[in-house]
Amino acid sequence: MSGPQQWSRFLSKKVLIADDEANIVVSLDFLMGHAGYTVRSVFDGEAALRELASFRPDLILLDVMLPLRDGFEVCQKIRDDPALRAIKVVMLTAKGREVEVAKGLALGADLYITKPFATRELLASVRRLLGE
Amino acid sequence: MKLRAQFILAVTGASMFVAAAVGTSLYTLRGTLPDAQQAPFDAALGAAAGALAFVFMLVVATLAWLLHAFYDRHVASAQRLAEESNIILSANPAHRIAEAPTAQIALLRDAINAFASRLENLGNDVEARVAAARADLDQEKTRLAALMSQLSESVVVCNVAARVLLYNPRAQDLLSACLSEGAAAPVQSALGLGRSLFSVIERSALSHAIEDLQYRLERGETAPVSVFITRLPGARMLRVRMAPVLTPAPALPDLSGFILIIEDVTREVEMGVSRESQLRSLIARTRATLGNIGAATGSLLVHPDMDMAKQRSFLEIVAQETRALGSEVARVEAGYRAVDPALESIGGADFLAVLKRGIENQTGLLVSSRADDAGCAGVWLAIDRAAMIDVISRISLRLRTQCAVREVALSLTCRGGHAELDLTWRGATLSLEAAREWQNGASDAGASLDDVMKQHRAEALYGHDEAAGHAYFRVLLPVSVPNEPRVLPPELASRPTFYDFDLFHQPRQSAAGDARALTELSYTVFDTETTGLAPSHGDQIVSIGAVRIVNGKRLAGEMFDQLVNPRRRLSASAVRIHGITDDMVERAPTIDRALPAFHRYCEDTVLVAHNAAFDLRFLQLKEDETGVCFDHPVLDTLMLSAVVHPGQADHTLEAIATRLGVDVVGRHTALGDALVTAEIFLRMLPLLAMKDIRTLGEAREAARSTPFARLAY
Repeated sequence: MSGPQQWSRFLSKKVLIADDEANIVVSLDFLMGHAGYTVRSVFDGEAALRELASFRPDLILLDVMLPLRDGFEVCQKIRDDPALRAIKVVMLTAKGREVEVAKGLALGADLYITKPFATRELLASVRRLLGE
Repeated sequence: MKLRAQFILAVTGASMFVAAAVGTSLYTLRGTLPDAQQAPFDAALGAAAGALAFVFMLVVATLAWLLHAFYDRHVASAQRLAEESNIILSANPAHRIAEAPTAQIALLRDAINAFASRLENLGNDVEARVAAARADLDQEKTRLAALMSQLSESVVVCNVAARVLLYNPRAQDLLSACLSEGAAAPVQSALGLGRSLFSVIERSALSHAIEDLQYRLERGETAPVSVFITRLPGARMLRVRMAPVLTPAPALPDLSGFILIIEDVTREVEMGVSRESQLRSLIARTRATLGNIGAATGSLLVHPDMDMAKQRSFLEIVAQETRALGSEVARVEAGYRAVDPALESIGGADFLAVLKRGIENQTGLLVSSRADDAGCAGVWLAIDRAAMIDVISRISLRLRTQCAVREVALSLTCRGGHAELDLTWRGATLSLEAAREWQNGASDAGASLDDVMKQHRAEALYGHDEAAGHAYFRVLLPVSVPNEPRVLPPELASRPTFYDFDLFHQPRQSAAGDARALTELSYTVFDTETTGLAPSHGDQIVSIGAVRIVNGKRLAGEMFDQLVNPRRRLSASAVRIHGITDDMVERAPTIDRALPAFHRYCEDTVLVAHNAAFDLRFLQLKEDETGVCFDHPVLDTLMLSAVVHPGQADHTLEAIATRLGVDVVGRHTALGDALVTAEIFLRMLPLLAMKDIRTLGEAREAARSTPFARLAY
C-alpha cells in the first residue's frame, strides 16, 4: 500500500458495519469505503462488541436482528460503557414499527433508519453525525 | 236487550188491559141506558173523545212510569246484582254491592256481600300461603335472573317453535342496536317474550341450525352445539352458538328448546377481510415490483456493454421500484393491528389502576401511579391483563427481594402511536446482564417478559437515569382503538332478565285465527294520544303506548312508549288532556318512522284497545304514508265490557277499572291507559269464559252484537 493511502487510513474516521445480511454488507462496505472511511464488517452481535473494543469505530451501522446479541443490546452496551459512549450509533434495520423505532431511540441510537433506505440520505446522515 | 223487550211488552199489555176495561165498562154502561138516551150518550162520548184519549194516555204514561220503577227496583236490580256477584266471583273479590232498592234485595245484597267477604278472606288466606310457598322459588328465580343480567354474553332461550322465552338485557341491547342500524327508526325492543326469533335472525340460518341440532341429537350426540354466522339487515354480523335445551324424560331426553349465545363479530370479520385483502395486495405488489427490478437488473447483466445513459435509466427503475415497495410496506405495517382474542381493549388510566393494585397485592410494594395528562385520558391499550400484570409484578417482586426496593412508581405517557409504561424506582440499578436475564425470565415460572412483549407486539427496555437517580423498566405499547361501546352493566331492579318458562310448553301455534283460545293468544294492548278527536279532519297521533300480554301475563319489561311529532301545533285543549306540549314532540320521530316501529312491536299479536275503532282509525289513515298495514285481529275492551256487563250503564275506562278493581295510574298518558286497559282485559277473560266466550272468534262475534259496534270515526 502506498504512503498517502496509509495516512488517509490513519486520519480517516472509522465505520463498523454490523449486519448478518451479506448482500447489504457488500454495498455498505463499498459505499463507506468510497466515502473515505475506514470500514470493518461483522455479522453478529458478539463480534460487534469485540470490534467496538479493538477497532474503536467513530460510528456503527447497526442492524437489529443480529445473531447472538441483537442490535438493541449492542446499542445499550455502547451507551452504558463510558469508553464507548462517544460512538455514533445508526440503527439500520428492517424492524420499522413505531415501538421498535421508539425503543432504538430510547436506548440511545443517534439515528434509526428503516430498510429500504435511500443511499444518498444514508451517506448525508453519516457525514453529519461525524461532523463533516 | 231482553229486559227492555220485556218492559215494552208489559207496558203494552197494561195499556191494552186499561183500554179494554174502560171500553167494556162504557159498553156495559151504554147497555143499561134506555134506547132514547143511547144516542145522546154516544154524542156526549164523541164530544169528550179528546179528553178521554188524553186521560187514557195519562193513565198509560203513569202505568209505564210505575212499571219502569217496578222493573228497575225488582227485575233490573236483580240482574245487576247477578252481574256484580259475578264480578266478585271471577274478577274482583274486593268488590261489594252497594245498590239495594228494596228491603228484600237489601237482604240478598247483605248475604252476597257477606259471602264475598268470606270468599275474599279465604282467597287472601290461600294467596298468602301460596306466596309463602313460592317465596323460596322466587328467590331462586331472582338469583338466576341476576346471574343472567350480569352475564357479559348475550343469551336468548327459545322453545322448539323458536319463540323467545328468556333473554337477558345484553341480548336485547345487542340485537336492538344491531337491527336499528338497518331500520328507518330505532328498534326499541328487538326481542320479546313469546315472539318468534325468526323475525330477528335470518330464517334459513336459524332453521339449518335447528335441523342440525335435531339431527345430531337423533344420532345420539349428547351435547351438540351448532355455530353459525348471520348477517343482519344493517350489515352487522352475529356469531350464534346454539345448543339444545333437554328435559329429562324416561327414555330419551326430550328436546324442549334451544339456548343461543350471540356475539357481534362484525369488527372481527371486517378486520379479517381487510387483513386478507391487504395481504393479497401486498403480495401482488411485491411480485410486480420484483418483476420490474428483475427485468431491469437482468437487462444490465445480459448487456454489460450498454451505454451509460441506458444503464442509468435501468438503475433508476430499480431505485424507484425499491422506494415504492418500501412505502407500501410501511403503509401496511402502520395500518396493521393485531387480532388476538386474549387482548382486551382497556383505557390507559384504567389499566394503570388495575396494574397498581395487581403489583401491590402480589409484592407488597408501595406503588404510586401517574398517568400523564398529555392525551392519556383517552388512550386505549390492547392488553392481556393477567399476563401483563403477572410479568410486571414478577419484575417488581425481584426488585423487592433482590434489590431491597420498597417503593416503585408507575407512569403512562402517550407518544403518538404508542404509549410508554414505566416502572420506576430509586436507588439500585441493574447491570445490563441482570436486566437481560430478568427480561428473558429464564429462572421464573410463567411467561417471560419477552414472550409477553411479543404477544402485545410491544417492546421492553431497561434504563437508568443517573442524573435523576432512578432506574426504570419501560414497556412500549402500541395504542389500540376502543372496543365497541360497551353497554354498562344493567341495574338489577330496573333491568331484570325477562323469562317465562311456561313458554316451553306452549303448543306450536297451529290453530288459525278465530279458533284459538283467548288465554293462549299474545296481545298488544295499546292506546294513543292525539291532537284532537277527528282523525278524518287532520288530527294526528302525538303518542303511542303499548304493553304486551303473553301466556295470560302482562310483560312488565316490554313496553312501547313513543312520542310522535304530529307536524302541527297542539291546541291548548289537547295539551290540557294529555299534557304533551310542542316542545316535547319537537325532536320526536314523525309518524312515518314511529308507526313501522310500532307495527314491528305488534307483530303476530291481537290488538286490544279501549274504544279501538278510534285509535285504529288513526293508524289506518296512515297506511299509505307509512306503508304498514294494521290488519291484526282486534278486540275492544269497550265492547267486551258491554258483553260481560250488559246491565251496567257506564263503560268508560275509569268505570270498568273501578268495577274490576284495577288501580288507575297515569290516566291520559298513552302508556298509562294501555296499562289500565291491559289489566282490565286480563280480568275480563274469566268473565267472558263464564259466558262461554273462549275463543277469539267467539269474542269478536259477541262484541259485534253490542250497541258500541256501530261507532265510527
